[in-house]
Amino acid sequence: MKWWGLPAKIWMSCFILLPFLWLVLLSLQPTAASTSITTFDLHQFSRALTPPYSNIIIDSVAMSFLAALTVLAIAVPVTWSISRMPSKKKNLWLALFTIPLGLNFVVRIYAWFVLFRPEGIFSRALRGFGLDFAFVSSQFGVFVGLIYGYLPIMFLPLYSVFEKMERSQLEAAQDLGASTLQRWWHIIIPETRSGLFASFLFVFVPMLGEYLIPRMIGGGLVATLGTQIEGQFLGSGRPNWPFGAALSICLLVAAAAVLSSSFILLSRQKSEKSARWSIAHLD
Amino acid sequence: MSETLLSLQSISASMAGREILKSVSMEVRLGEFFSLLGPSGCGKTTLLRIIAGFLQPNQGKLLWCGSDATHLPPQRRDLNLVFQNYALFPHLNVFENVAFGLRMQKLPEDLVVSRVAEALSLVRMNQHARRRVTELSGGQQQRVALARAVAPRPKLVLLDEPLGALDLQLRKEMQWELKTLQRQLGMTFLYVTHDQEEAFAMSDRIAILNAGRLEQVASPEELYSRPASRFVAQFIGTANFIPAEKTSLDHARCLNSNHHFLLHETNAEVLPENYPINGDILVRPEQIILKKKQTEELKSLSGVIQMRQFLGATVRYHVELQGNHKRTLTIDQSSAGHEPIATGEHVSMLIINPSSSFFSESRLT
Amino acid sequence: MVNRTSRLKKIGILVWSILLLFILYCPVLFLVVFGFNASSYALRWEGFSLRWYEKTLENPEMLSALFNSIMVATVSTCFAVVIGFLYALWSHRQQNKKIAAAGDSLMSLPLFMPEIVIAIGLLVVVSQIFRPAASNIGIPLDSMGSIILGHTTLALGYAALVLRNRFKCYDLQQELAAIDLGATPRQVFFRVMLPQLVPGFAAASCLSFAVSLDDFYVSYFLSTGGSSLQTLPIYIWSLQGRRAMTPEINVVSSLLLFIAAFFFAAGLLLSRIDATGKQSGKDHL
Repeated sequence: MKWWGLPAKIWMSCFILLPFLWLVLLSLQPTAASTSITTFDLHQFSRALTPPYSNIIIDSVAMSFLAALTVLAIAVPVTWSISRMPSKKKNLWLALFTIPLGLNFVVRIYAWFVLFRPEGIFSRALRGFGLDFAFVSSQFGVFVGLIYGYLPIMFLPLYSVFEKMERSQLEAAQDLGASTLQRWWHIIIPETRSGLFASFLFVFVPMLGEYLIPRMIGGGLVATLGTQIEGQFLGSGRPNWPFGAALSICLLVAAAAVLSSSFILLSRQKSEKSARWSIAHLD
Repeated sequence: MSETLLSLQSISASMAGREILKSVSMEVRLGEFFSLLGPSGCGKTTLLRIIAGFLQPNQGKLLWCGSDATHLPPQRRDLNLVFQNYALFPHLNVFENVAFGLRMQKLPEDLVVSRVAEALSLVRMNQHARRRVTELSGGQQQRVALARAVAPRPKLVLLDEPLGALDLQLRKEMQWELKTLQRQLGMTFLYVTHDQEEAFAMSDRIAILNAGRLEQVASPEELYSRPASRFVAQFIGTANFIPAEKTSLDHARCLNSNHHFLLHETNAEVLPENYPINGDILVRPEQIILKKKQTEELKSLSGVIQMRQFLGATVRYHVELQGNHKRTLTIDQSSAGHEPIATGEHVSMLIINPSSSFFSESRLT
Repeated sequence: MVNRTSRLKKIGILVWSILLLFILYCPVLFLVVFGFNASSYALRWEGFSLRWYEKTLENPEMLSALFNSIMVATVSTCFAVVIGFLYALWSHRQQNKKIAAAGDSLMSLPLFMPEIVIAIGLLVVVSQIFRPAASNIGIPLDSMGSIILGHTTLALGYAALVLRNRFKCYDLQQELAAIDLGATPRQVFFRVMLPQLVPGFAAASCLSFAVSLDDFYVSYFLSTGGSSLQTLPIYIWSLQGRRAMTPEINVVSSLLLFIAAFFFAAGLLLSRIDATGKQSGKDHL
């Protein structure tokens, strides 16, 4: 009985925790040639944190952040209205928005790439309307691609957040004279704040390490954290595993930084609110 | 006296260093409806699990029809449980749930069918045999759980607060049904509850458990009129304690009046034979007659009305006792032909029970 | 007045939803349609034909990729479901809630770590630790083996989650009731527990299979170490990189799309079925 949990824990330790630890050790090796763990120094990190790599990291974080925010903004109105539907209608709409999640990622990105290539049907149509965007081989194209690629991931977590929101609370607010905007600002967003953050992170973190989209849509012209990491391990040039490991540690640190800052933000808002409340009720 | 089915001999149990049962000894007789009554956390569920065989006592013995069954595994005990949350099997329908125990005994299929039909008709669920148990209401699930427990025809059925999840009306109905069923089957029922009314409504005998200790085992009537301890007196119904002194082995005198009481010889308290002993006399709310005070009567107890509640069949008064020992008494008067007495009025009280129980001051709770 | 604004809002949301669905589905639909193209070019429509389907289904490279994908998915699903089931059993019976919660968060790590980090981590430990260690004791750990290890890790995260949530609806009191009615531990396992977990098993298997079929990163990074091995997504990736794109890529994509989406949808549907075989509103994912 007691040992039943062991296989799973050993598996995760061997194939998640150990690799992570090994990457940390590897990132502390001084030269590209080092394949075994010998000495420790921070050379790889100092290289990662100076230009051009520091700029790539900042660009990647900024682009992923904006893209994840956009995905959130796109998905919120739809998911909210689905969560307020009668149950039969709700299931249908939810299914429609969930199915793309099961469509293969590589295929979806390739399909997108095909339509938005300069000779693709969509870009030709858009050019016909006088809208000439570089959807391919550009930073903007990668940005749009990230949004398209990760939009389906947002619906389910958001839905589970909104579903818990009680109708009576909103009706009470409406009854007290709150407009739609006021209801969102004073009730829905504060109540679902942590869920919104979680959904955001659910999209932001994988975006940060995205390799497929910048490689396919960016056509090798857009450098992101993901393409840099890939290049150090499998690139056509000389592989540099320690440096690649350092870059991926940077990726994890960036993700952790956004995660913890959101935690701090959440808890500060809460304590500020309670502080204001206690001051208001002092006398 | 009928034959003893189950006998517990100084059963003690502790969990994580905490004593849960302290040397509990009692007997359950064949064919009776026996209740285990106590406040939550008194150890009654632990005792039930020991009887069912899911737990082993740290000390003591459990005799089943006279032979030692302390370490017998649950599946080999001739008893079945009705669980508090029913614990029905959601993947099986009503029929298969009830048939489960019979199938475990590997009975032939035609016997299984007839026994299940019989058990289901006993609980009036035969028309629902093919339904899924998750589609049933709470009361119906309750009935299925009961049928499942009685279908293998065990000697003893253990019921762990089976009515706890039902609403009041349904609970009252089910109490009648359970009692009728038990009579019909002639099986022994051991019923665990914290609800005194429920235990009174159904039981032949009741065991009162408090903080792991057995306080008293007796019929409902005896528990009410001759409680063995202050705890039992207060736990069963409403108790008024009137200051008194015990003057001899079977006599007590009220301190504020000249009421004299004959004491029950069964009173369990062993006292040093050094009279008079200070303490309290137990008087139930309906054992006092209230009268408006006209003249100064030295002989009777006097008090002031603090509150009056009309309860339908009775009118309940809260009366503050006058004299050296101030305390509030609860007194019920039959509402038939009763002339209401206003709050603040002085009243005299006449105690009408001829014999009572005395509790010395040392055990004041 | 109020009515009109709320109706406008409703129409706005509806238009927005339809637009989103169009954007989400349209590219993929185009791809599927262009698999039936008669032309030799991937994206110049010259009439309906099954020519490329015939050609693709005879292509040994694509057949071996399909075989690899199914092989890897089957083996890693078996591993993930068995290990995940044992884990869920343990975690459900764990009295100490803190220890159980710690275990649960360990198991959900693959769901929250960026896939690329999991993939390169595996690449590093497989090539520097596990492969040398395995060859020392005489077992060659080839690409297939290491990809199976990786996919099992990814799938295990989902399988453990689904089975764990399924166990939460399984009342342990039932086992006491069964024992009380005379069941042996074997009978409790086969007649009480297992039948109630069948939908959970099916859901976990389907999702694990879909996760494995869907994976790009782990296969991509691990296939290059040792002998090269292509799964379907990797094969599509390599086709896309070639100069002349024939409709074959559309056909392979369509095939992968249908297989993976089928298992994904089945997994989702099954995870909504409760122990009695009825649809429950609750998601166990």
